[in-house]
Amino acid sequence: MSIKAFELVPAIERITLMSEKAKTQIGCIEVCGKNLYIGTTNCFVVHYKVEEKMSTSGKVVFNTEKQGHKYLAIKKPIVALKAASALNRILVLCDGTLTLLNMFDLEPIVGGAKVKGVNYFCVNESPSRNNPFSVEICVALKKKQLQLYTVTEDRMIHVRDFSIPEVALSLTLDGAFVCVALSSQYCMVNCDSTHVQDLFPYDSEHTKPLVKRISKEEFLLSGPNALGMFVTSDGISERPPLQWSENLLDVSYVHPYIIAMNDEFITIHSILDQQQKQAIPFQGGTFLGNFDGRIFIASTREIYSLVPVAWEKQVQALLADKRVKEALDLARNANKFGLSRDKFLRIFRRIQQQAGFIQFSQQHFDEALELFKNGEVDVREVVSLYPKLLPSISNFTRCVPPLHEIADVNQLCRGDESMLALYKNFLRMYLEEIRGTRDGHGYKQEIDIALLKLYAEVNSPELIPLIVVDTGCDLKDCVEVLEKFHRYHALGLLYKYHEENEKALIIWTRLADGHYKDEAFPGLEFVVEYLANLNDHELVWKYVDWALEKDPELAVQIFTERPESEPPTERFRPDMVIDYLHRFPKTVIAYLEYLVFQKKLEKEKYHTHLAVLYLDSVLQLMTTNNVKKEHLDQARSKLRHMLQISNLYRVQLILGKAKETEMFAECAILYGKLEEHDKALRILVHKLKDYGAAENYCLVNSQGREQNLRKRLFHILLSVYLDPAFERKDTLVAPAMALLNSNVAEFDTSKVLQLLPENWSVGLLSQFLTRAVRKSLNYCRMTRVECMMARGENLQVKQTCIELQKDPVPITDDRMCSVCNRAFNDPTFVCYPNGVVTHTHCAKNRQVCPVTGRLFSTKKS
Amino acid sequence: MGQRKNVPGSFLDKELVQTIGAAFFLKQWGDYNVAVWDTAGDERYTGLSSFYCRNAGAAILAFDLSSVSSYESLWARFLPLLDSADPDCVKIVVGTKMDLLTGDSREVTPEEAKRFAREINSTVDPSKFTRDPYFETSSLTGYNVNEVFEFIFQLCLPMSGDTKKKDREVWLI
Repeated sequence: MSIKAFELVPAIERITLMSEKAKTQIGCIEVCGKNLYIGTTNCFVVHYKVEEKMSTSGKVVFNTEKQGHKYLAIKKPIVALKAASALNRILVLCDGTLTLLNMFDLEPIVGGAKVKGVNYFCVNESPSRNNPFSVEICVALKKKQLQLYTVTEDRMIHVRDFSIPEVALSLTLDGAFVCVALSSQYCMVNCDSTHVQDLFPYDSEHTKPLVKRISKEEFLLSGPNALGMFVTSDGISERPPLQWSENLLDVSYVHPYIIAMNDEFITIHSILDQQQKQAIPFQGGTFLGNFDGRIFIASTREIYSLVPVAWEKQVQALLADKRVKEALDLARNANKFGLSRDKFLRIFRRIQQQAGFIQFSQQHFDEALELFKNGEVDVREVVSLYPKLLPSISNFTRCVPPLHEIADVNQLCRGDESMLALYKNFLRMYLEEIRGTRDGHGYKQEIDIALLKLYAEVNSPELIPLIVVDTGCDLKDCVEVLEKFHRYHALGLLYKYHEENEKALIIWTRLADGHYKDEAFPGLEFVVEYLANLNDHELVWKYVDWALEKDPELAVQIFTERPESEPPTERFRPDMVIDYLHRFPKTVIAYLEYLVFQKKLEKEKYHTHLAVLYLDSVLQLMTTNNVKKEHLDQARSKLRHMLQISNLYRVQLILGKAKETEMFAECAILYGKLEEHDKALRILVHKLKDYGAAENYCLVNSQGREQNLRKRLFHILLSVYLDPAFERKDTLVAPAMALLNSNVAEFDTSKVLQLLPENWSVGLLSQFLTRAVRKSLNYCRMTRVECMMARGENLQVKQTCIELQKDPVPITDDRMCSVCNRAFNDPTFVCYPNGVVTHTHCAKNRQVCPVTGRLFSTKKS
Repeated sequence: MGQRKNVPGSFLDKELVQTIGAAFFLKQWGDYNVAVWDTAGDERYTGLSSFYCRNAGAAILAFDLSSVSSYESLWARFLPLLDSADPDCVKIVVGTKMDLLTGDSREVTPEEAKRFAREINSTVDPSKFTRDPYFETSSLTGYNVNEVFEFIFQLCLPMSGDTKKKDREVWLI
């Protein structure tokens, strides 16, 4: 896979020399800052200033200006140039002699700074000594020897020598290690130990010896068969070799690319995977070098620069080839290229978006989803790919320059329905995920409308929650869609959401009447509930009739289930409602029940009305035949319950009616309400023979009232039991005894004794009597105890009083009130238990000392 | 020899290609990073192979079971390369292309290969071996391939005590 990582840009089109001789050819170059030096084959050193500029079209251009030149006057080619900017010097190798020139005027430095018999030299790229004003160099002599020098402004100080097995042709010095190309092999020299380690053989006739530094103590060598071999200072390799083409001329390295030049091409390999990434046709190259990260290439007449293509461009090129993974990898690693984090993220997000659309167009939905989310793409960009999903009012136009080349999903699917479904499914997932998150912020309407359209089409259960809860769907687009797909219930809900209640009701009445079909519609209950909660009362009344006709019992909920918070209005005055409901008797009962039991309205009218209605329904049941007993019982118990708990209805009215029929239980309750307990109890005992109910009656009617009433009621009951006038009184002895012995009943014992028939044996009454006596005795004793305790308390209080008063309180002229500090003029004063004496009017609180704030207990502790 | 060990499973899963110069991969084994080099068999790379064998802790000498000449070249050409390796270098002999063996296509018997394997490891303490350093494998099916590596790692990398990360190199010819 190729990448366009570099671009070849001309730097100096044609070197010009004063002599303009045709023979002038470039031998070597050196770049140091803005200074570019050319060593020619005919012994000139030429100095240029080079400035790199960005042209208006975004391309890099070089402005060059010749500064000067120097002819070294020996007619031999210049072999190598090295700048030592700290010393303002350049090192020149020409005709086997290494000399120094001034960096600016190119004048030779006189004073013995010279080494002769030199084959090649190199500068230490990681010097061990840190004197900035000296440079370490290693020189390969024409004999089998290497020499180390320290170079200063005007001197080359010899440091040491190393013997090597053969003559060195090329070398690189890094730290304490020199990697040397000899005539038949490469070797590694350790400057500290002088140990020479053989690396591997090569043939210097077929292979140009090249030694380049890659990183600290790692070198790249040109091996046999055009292999690029990596070697560490330990003499081993930690990277696989890479394969170049034949006739290699020069090599250079700029992370992460290795640039190699042969007679036809410049090739670029990645050091990461050893694969070739780019090839640029280039003929006649002579020199290639990396100068502080800038690559310059020389042919015989021209100089070019290999400018790295901006990573954005590389990424865009990869994206154009749909190589998403590589593009993203490259972009991620581009983080280091000196952009501010914000700026980088902005660019990276756009790349992610573009990548997302590529994945999208290839149906890689998971990846696309991830990229859209991470890239924070504008939702509308995605939605706009689906025809008719954006709101019709949306004036969205796609981003310029475009993020993708997709017209719409139909274009991607080419009529494949199942694929279209996948695409729609994807959009649904995507929108659901971003709905309500930061990404979806500001596009609620677009998201919700698109979702609604998608849901409506597939009849998703998500449709209704979408509409009901905080939806961004407007009416304009959605009504049409919902109608088209027959999602009438959802349509009703949408109207409701937008408070178009009348339209909503039209939809729902049609659904309830069966004109429309939609299985999502829950039925009439829903409409009734809606009406019950609707605060537009005029509208409610419009539909009350319809609802009552459909199902009166359900429809009454419109009135009974109204929200608690709703203020009472004229339209819903109970009287009006009752009048209105007249046609539907059952609904009136339900409504009155609501008024009486739930709203607890204390109006005689409603209570009586309800009681009468209950009574009517009981009477009606009684007169009709074949009525099940439980129905009747149920109706009667409702009536009794009503009669019992309410005190507001007109008792006489009901009683009159109740007496006409044999409704004894009801009559008993009604007599109870009239305080005619004797009558009530007689009915219970004689007519109903329900003794339990009679006892209960006594308890219920005396509840929450004075003790004596209870006693009286039980007494009445007992006397009913023992009534000598009743012909079957014998049958009542047992309940009478039970009552006497009952734990709940309370009696005035002496009165009971008077009432009891004389012929009853004591044995029969023993239980009652024992209890009565015990109770009486207990009462007597308890009273005594109380009496004694009261007396004791009284004595204690007296004692305290005496103790407090026994000391005299002298009031003299100079005794001042402790509160106001004035003299006492009145004969009265207040003395607190702690001795504080004040005026009576100064003692605001008798329990709290006004001076110390001490609290005197009102009780004896 | 000279071709790529194509190992399904835990080691390699690459396409079968001619090795250029040398190929290299890292393998985690316990606390160790093991560097495995695959050197080229082609004669023109002989000089380089010797370079890549420097300080090797173990070497795999692979030959084609159905080719006696490839077996002989182990001795003739590849054994000398290991002169630059660690003196204690363990040499494992591996016969390959098991899957291609039919009745009479086998040209090297297991016995002679085992004998050869014992001979070339004479510098190594024989008590270290739990078995003969000879394996027959198939890179097509992956048969015995992991066993070879397990054998080497267990032999060369002490698992107990020394928890420090340590790079040793294993060579494959």
